[in-house]
Order: sequence, then C-alpha cells, then structure tokens
Amino acid sequence: MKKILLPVQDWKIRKKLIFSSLLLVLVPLITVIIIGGMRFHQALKKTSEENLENLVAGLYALCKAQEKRMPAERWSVSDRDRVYRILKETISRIKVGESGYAYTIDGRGVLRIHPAKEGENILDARDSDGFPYIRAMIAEARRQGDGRIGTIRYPWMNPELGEIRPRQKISKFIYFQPWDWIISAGAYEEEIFRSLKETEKDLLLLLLFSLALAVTLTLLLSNLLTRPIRHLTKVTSAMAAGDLTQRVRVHGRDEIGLLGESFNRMASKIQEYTTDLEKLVEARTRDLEESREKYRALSQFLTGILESTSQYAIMATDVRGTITEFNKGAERLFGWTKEEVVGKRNMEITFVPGTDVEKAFFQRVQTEGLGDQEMERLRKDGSRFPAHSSLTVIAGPGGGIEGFVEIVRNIADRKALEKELRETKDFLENIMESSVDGIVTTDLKGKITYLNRAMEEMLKYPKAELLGEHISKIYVRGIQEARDIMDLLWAEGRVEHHEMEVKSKDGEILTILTSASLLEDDEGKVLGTSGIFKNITEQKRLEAKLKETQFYLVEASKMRALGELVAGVAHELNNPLMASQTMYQVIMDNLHEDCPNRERLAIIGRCNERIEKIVNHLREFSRQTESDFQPIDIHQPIENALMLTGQQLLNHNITIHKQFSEGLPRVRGDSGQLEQVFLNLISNARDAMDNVEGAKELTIRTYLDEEEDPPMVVASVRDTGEGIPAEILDKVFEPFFSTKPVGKGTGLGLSLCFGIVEAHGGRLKIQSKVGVGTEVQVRLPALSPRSKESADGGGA
Amino acid sequence: MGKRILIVDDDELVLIALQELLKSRQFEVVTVSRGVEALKKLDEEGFDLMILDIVMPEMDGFELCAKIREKPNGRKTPIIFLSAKNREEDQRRGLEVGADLFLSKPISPQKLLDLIAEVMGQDRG
Repeated sequence: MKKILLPVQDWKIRKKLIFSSLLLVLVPLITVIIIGGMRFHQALKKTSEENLENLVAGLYALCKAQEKRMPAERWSVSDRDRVYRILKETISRIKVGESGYAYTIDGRGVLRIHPAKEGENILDARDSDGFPYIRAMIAEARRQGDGRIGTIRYPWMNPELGEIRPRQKISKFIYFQPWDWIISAGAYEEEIFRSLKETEKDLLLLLLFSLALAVTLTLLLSNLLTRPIRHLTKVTSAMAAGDLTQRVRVHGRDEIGLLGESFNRMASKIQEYTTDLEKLVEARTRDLEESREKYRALSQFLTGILESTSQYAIMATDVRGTITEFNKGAERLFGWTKEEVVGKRNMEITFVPGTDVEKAFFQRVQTEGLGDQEMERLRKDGSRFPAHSSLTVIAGPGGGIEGFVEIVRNIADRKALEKELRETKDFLENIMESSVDGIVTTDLKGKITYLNRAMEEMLKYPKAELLGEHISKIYVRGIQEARDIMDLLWAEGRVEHHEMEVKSKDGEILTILTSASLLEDDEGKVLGTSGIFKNITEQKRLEAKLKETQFYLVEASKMRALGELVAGVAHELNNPLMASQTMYQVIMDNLHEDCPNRERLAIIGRCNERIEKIVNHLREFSRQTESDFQPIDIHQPIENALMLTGQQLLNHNITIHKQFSEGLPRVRGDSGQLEQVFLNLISNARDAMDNVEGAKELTIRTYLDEEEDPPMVVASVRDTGEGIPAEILDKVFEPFFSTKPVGKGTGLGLSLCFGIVEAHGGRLKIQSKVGVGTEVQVRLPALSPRSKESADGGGA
Repeated sequence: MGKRILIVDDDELVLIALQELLKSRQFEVVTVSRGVEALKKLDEEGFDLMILDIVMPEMDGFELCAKIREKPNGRKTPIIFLSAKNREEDQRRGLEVGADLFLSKPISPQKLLDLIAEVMGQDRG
C-alpha cells in the first residue's frame, strides 16, 4: 500500500486535486452509470423479453381463444381465413423495435402468418453462423410443450440490404399445440436496446460533460489553491537562492493567506539577521584576515627561531603524537634528521620505553595546558641522557587539542653540578648538624632561617616550630636581648662571648654563651646573622655551686677563725669572771645585813651574771661546749623545739604546718645543738611575722634531696614574714649582725646556727623575698644504713 | 681543824678570789701559780685537797696531776680540776690522770663549796 502512496505524495497539488476530485466525481458517477446502465440494460432486456413473452403469450391467448370458439378441426375454409385474417391483423400491427415483428410458423416449418414470407417453408433456414435455427426453435417448442415460452437468439444478416455484419436477433416463441403452431416474435436486440443505447449515449455525454466540468472546476480550484502556494514556493525558492527581498503577495485570510503573512514576517526577520550576520561575517573575516596575517608573520618568526636555535631541541607534534616539527637542536640532541621523523615518526621515539613518567606528564599537560618535567630521554643510537622538557598544548579553535610543542634541553651538566652541589651541601650540613653547639641563622628581620640539631635538642623545639619564628622567641629577655645583640653586631660586625638566657619549649631556662656574626654576600650586603649557642647552663651551675661553696668555705673559715678568737676570749674571761663571782660571794657573806653596800654589791653581782651569760654564749658560739654526735632522726630536735615554742607561737597567732617525710634516713648530729638551731630559726620566724598583716604561717618541711652527693636530709623552716631584702641576705650569717632592736637578741643566733650546722657537716641555706617570707634550710648529710650501723657500733 | 687546800692556777685573780672564798670558810689555803711550785710544796707538806687549773704554762694540770699521784703524799689526796676547758675528752683525761672531780669554770662559789665538802668527806670516809 505504501509503495503506492509514496509516489502520490510527490504529485503536485493540482495533480492531487484533480486526481482526487476526479476520483470523487468520477468514481461514483461511473459506478452509478455502470450499475445503472447495467440495471437499465438488464431491465430493458428483461422488459423487452417480457414484452416479447407477453406478446407471444398474448398471441397464444388469441389463438387459444379462437380455438376455443371453434376448434381448428371444425374449421371451414372461410373460418380459417377469418381466423387467419384476424390473427394477421393483429400480428401485422405488431412492431417490435424498429424492424422486429411477430409471426407464426407450423411444425413443418411453413410460415403461417408472416409479414413477408407467408406460406414459405423456412425449416432449413440458417442464421449467419449456419445454424438451423428454425428447426431448433420448432424442436425446442415442441419439446417444451403447449403454452410454454422459449427463447432463441441467433445472429442474422441481410446482405441484400447491404448489411455487412450480422446482428443478434432474439425471438420468443410459444407453442400452440392444437394447431402445431409456433408463435414467435423477435427483433434485433440492438433495436431493443436502441433506447438503451440512446440513453447510454446520453449518459456518456453526461459522463463526459461531468468529467469535463469536474476537471475544469478542479483545475480552477487547484489553481486557486496552488497559485498562492506556487507563488509562495517561488518566493521561498528565490529567497533560498539568496534573494531576501522577496515577499509574498497576500490575498485573503485563509490558511494560505496567514501562511503568506507569517512567511513575510519570517522573511523580514531573516533578512534582518542575514544583514547582521553579513556584517558580523565581514568583521570576522577582517579579523581572521588580520590574525592570519599575524599568524603568518609569527609563524615565519618562529620558524626562524626554530631553525636558528641549535642549543634547544624544539619539536611539535599533532594530537596523536606524530612529529610535525623538528628543529636543528632536536636533530643534534636526539640524533634523528628532520626528514626521518617529520610526518613519519611518533614522539615516543625520544622517550625511554617502559616508564610511566611521560604518560603522567602528558596527562598533566593536557589538563593544565603546559608543564615541565625532568626525565631521561632516548637518542636514536639508544643512548640516554637526563633532560628537561617544557611541554605546551596547542589548542584548536574549539578548545580541543591540535598538537603539542616541546622544548628539550640536555641537563647532564646541570645534573652533575647539582650532584656536586648537593654533596657539598650535605657535607656542610653534616658539619653543622653534628656540631655539639647550637648553630642558628636569621634573616635581617631576625626570623630564624636555619637551626641545627644541637639547637633543636637544646631547646626541645622541633625545627619546624622555630623556622620562621623571630629569634627573640627563645630569649628570656625577649626582643630587648635581640636588639642588644643586633646593636653589637652592627657596631662591631661580630659578637663574642655574649652571655644570655634562653628558654626551652618546656620552660626550662638555659644559660647560653653566644658568638655571632653578620652574614654577608659577595658584595658585602648583609643577608642576616649567624650565631653559635653554647649551653653553659651546667657550667654556670657548677660555677654558682663553686661560688657558694667558696662562700661557705670562706664563711666557715671566718667563722672558725672567729670561733677561735671568741673561744680565746671566752677562755680568757673565764678566770676573771670566776674570780669576780667568788669575791662577790665572799664580800656578800661578810657584809652586815643592813649594810648599804649590800645593794651596791648586788649590782656587781648582776653584772657578773650578765658576763657569764655572754661568756656562755660566746662559748657556745665557738663550740667550747661539748658536742655529742649521734645518729639521730632529724624530726626529734624539731619536735623538741616545737614543744618549747608551740604555745608561744599559738599566742602569736601563728599556724604551724608540719610536712614531715616518712622514712627519712638519719643524720649524724648533736640533738641538743640541733634543737638550738631550730629554736633559733623558729624564734626568728616568729619575730619576722610579728608585724605581718596577713596569714602567719610557719611551715616545717623535711625531705630527702637526692640530687646532691651525698644525699642531704633537708629541714626547711619557712615563714610568711617580712622577708629579708636581697642586699642584706648575704650578711645574716655574720656574727653580731642583727636586724632586731638593741637588747633583743645578741645577733649571734644565725651565725651560731650556721656554725653548728657546718660542724655537723651540713649547710645552712637561706632564701627570702620581701613581703612574702623567708625559708631557711638546714641540710645535713644523710646517713646510709651502713654508716648508721658503724656509728651505732663504733660508739664511745 | 683547818683543812689544807692547795690551789694551782696561773691566773692571779682566780687564786686570790678562791683563797678569799675558802679562807672565809676556815680553810687553810696555799696558792701557787705553777705546777713546779706545786710539786715543791707537796714535798714540803701534805694537803687535804688540791684544786688544779689545766691550762698553765710549762706544765699543764694533767701532767701535774699525774706527777702528784706519783708522790707518796699525793696519792690519796682528793684532786679537783677547775678549768675553763670542759670537753668530754678533757674530762676523761682528767679522771684518767687521777683526779676525783672535774669542774668547769665558771662555777658558782656555793656549788664549789658544796662539791669540795663532798669530795673531802668522801676521802675521809
């Protein structure tokens, strides 16, 4: 079905219209005509036949009527003539069609009643086909029987009338048996159908007329339709061909009219756009021309460079990697000639096979547009060399990759140089790193640019935390220290043996001896500073300790000297004292009770007492009193002293805190003397806190200090009193030094304590802060269990 | 019944004072300032008590005491050391060389008298 329809689609509208209208008009028409014609034909035929049948039936009836009136057997001749006459009248009047007639013929073939050949025997008459139709008719009639109608058709020609062709005749016959008559009526079929033919002719005319009308109308209509469409087509074709000024002539408001209008609008728009586009294209073309020119110039320029450079290998490839450019430098570097590679070989020939470096490199460059990479490259002869490659993407107009440009340099020399440099650097770094002292460099602003491992370890900062930081970060004195050093550096160019304090990450303070200098470049421009940091904390500590020891030694020897002196003095005083006391007694005994001299003498007695006291003090000071050294628990003398002073302290609103360590080793000492020491310290503490506003707290703490060698048992007496100013702190151990008002205390206390503790092999340490309080430490060598035993065992 | 006491001390003041004290208690007092002299006196006469200082030039109290104990009339005489020295070892030494008592200066007069009485009473007993 489709195969049929498709070509139809291509017909012009006119053709389609004509075709369809024709179909519409003709098909029903023809159908009607044909069917009508057929029917008519049939009807006519039937009617004709019926007519003929009725005719012959009528004639039969007539005959029958005559027979009935008088049977033929009883006819006289006149009767016969009469009947025949009647019959003939009737029969001769019969006209069938134009030339058709009725007749009768008997069974012998004799024509009984016939318009022309009455009495003739035509039994052997044949039609134009030679068929003995009369015989057939008679036979058939007889066979059929009386009153039965039969039909015969046969072709007949009358050549004598000038007919040249036979015409079909139709006869209806009926058998009248009483007379053995066959009554027949026939005519040329065509004469019967003549009216039909006439009608047919009319119909045909009608058909033709309709056809013509239909075609004409259709043509007109189609024209009506197709003209505007053709016009539209013409205009659009013209427009398609390039003539944008064409417009459709619009008639009417039908669809075609509207289409025409739309088309016109569209045409205008297109014309507009086209004009703009043309302008744009013009401009672009101009630009393109310009850039082409530039490109041409550039291209020439580049080619010039390309070829003149023999130091650098410059290669270009297309997007697949096929080499499109290969300059002299590339020839020199890779060993291929230009002819060997351009258009023929891929870039791969310059790469060492089996590595992923270039793959990644190319991918990176494709993404970013350009990139550098160092890698090994391959020469034609198979040798390799270290190379530096700069690769760029050449982008096409649409953003796609058109190709690549690569510049390659042999960096073997550079690599060797780098290696040497690296080795030197490593060597130097090694030196720096293995240095025992810290090495630091800073930039001009003072930010740390380098520090070695020793520095790291000294300050406990990881390198990363100090790099970039200002050097003052590690100075205890902060920025001022940095400034001082810088001043020195600027003034003299170097700093030697500058002592300062730095703080480590965990807050430890270290004493550093630093040597520093300015870093300069070749031209003498200052780049920064460099310093060596020597950790002298331990040294300092030892120095301090030494100083302290010296101090103690000096003090001790002073004390000893003094002790000796005082011992001597006391010793000397003993005798006169005793003499004085004795005499006093003697005189007192001899004085009368009422004697006024008793009172006077009493004064001398009191003087003696005071002198004795002082002498005792002096003796104590010089240790003229006996020492009884035993292994003792330090807590004992402390507790004894507290026992004696407890009440007093309470009265003074002093809170006592005892922080005694358990399991402290024993010390070798005189309990009584140590008790005196603690009494002295407690009473000093009490005095110090007398005038204090806030909390009055006396804290006695005992512990083992294992940092010293030998370990020391420490008894610390701390108060929250006035404190001792730093300036006089050194002097407190001096004999006769007292801050107490005259008469209160002899000022021998602390110096005595010092002497006692020192005689015990220990040390008295004092720390004080004005407004905060004072701490005095009695430090005595701890007895190891072994020595304890020996002390016990040795005895006596 | 005057008990005879010998006092040996290089300090004149001490000698006088003690003498005065003891004399007021009806003792007979002989004073010398040197060990040598004391020995000489002992050769001449006996004593009921001897009070010796220790620190003296030429011969110290310990030596003197030892020497006294060698003498026949010095063997049993009560000897008291009266000295400024008061160390343990001095005391020990004092008793080693034969003294009966070791006292340190200064000592209250009354106490001295009591102790003297005690020592002399002992000897008697």
